[in-house]
Amino acid sequence: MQKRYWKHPAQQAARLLDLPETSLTDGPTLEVGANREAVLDGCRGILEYTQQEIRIAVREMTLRFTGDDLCICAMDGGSLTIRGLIRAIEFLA
Amino acid sequence: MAVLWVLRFLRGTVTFLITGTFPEKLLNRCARERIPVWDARPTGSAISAQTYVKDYRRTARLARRDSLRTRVTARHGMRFRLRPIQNRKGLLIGAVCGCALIWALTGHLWVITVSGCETIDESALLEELSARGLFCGARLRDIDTRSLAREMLLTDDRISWLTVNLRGSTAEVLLSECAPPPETIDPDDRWANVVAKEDGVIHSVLPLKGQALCRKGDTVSKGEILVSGVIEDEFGGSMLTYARASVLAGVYEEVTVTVPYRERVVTESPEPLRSRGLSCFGRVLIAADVPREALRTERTFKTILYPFLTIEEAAAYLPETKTVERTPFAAKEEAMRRLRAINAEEDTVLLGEAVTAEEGETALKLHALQYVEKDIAEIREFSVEQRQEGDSVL
Repeated sequence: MQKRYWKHPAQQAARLLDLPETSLTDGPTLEVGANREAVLDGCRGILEYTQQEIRIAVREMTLRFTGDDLCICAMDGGSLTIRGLIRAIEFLA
Repeated sequence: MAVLWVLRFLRGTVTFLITGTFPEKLLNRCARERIPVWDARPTGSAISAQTYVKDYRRTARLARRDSLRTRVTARHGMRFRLRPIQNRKGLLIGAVCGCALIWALTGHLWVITVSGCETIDESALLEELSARGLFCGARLRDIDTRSLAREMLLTDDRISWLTVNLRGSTAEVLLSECAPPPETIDPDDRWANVVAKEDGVIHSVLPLKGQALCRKGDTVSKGEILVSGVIEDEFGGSMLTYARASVLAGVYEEVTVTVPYRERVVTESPEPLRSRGLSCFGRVLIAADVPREALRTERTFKTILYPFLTIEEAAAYLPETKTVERTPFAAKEEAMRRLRAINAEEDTVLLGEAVTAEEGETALKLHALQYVEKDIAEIREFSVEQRQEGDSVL
């Protein structure tokens, strides 16, 4: 039996309209500027914060940034800016 | 980013350290409560972050709720910079007074510059403008530049165009003078002959209008008609005109120059006397070394110190009186120099001369009989009635 990936109607609508999925859902968006800056929208909280690792709770998953000299430069509502030398970004279910 | 820095500087910020178990909790709470927090950096087990001074109390309250502790480590912003001088009332009052003075002065006119004056006297123009409300110290909002320019154009016929530009506390008056109408040299309602103003021998005749009655080599006497204003044609008819001509003739002239052996001469000082004066609203307050009148000369340079205070630097060439002693030879040289100056002044060409010097007791007299070439043409108008009555105009 074929597995269904698009459970949310908004996701299906976005696919049909050829739009980004996050434009119709309130899912997190991540904008990465090279390996120096990342702007995350839709943050639900910081789970762990060190200079080498930052874990952030987003909807239905956890985002893990690993690198060196990581810093949360700005934090406002659900938006968050991380700067430093980002080595990896992992999406943990 | 610079705007953000300025805003933070004006509002005042604090850097604080969050200690306790799981300090990230406070950052999450701040995010939920919409408290702006930035530059969050982990330092060991604690986290250092920044927020506005106004929001720090709320942050500290949230921290206590989560069993965390906050401690201010640094303060930034204007209010913290000004704290050391808060008790110095004089400085504060001075700053406020200075600002108030600047605010008051910027509403007034302090400098007026005029450009475009060629024949019009600049000081007279400034007086006229002053009478119409444009003067140093006038309130800027009272100056109506358009009506001022219009009034000046209507009242002063010498000005063809004028505008007043206000730039801050400076008024720039730009004007263009009217070109004078050309002189009417050939009137239709008058007639004239060209006559000799001195006795002489004609060297050349160049009639511009009229009929020449003399030619090269002729000897003419004073008052004789050289070019007639009555032009006769071959049929016996005549036409009246305003005769004009250039007639060069050789003329004998006698010139006497007297040079005393001892003379008082008034000259300008070779080195200017320099000085500075402080002027306020156009009035000289302090002037050292140089008379006050000397500060109002063309050789004055102004340095604007403040809108109403100017430093005027004057270079005055004051008159010097000295007595000159001359030997007869030096007196003769001086007499010759003066004779040449007279010739140059009269615009004549010297063709020959016989000079005799007479040495007196107190002065030397130089007699010169000169043969010079000069224009002897003189326009003399005549009326038609004069001709009809039989008077000779030819």
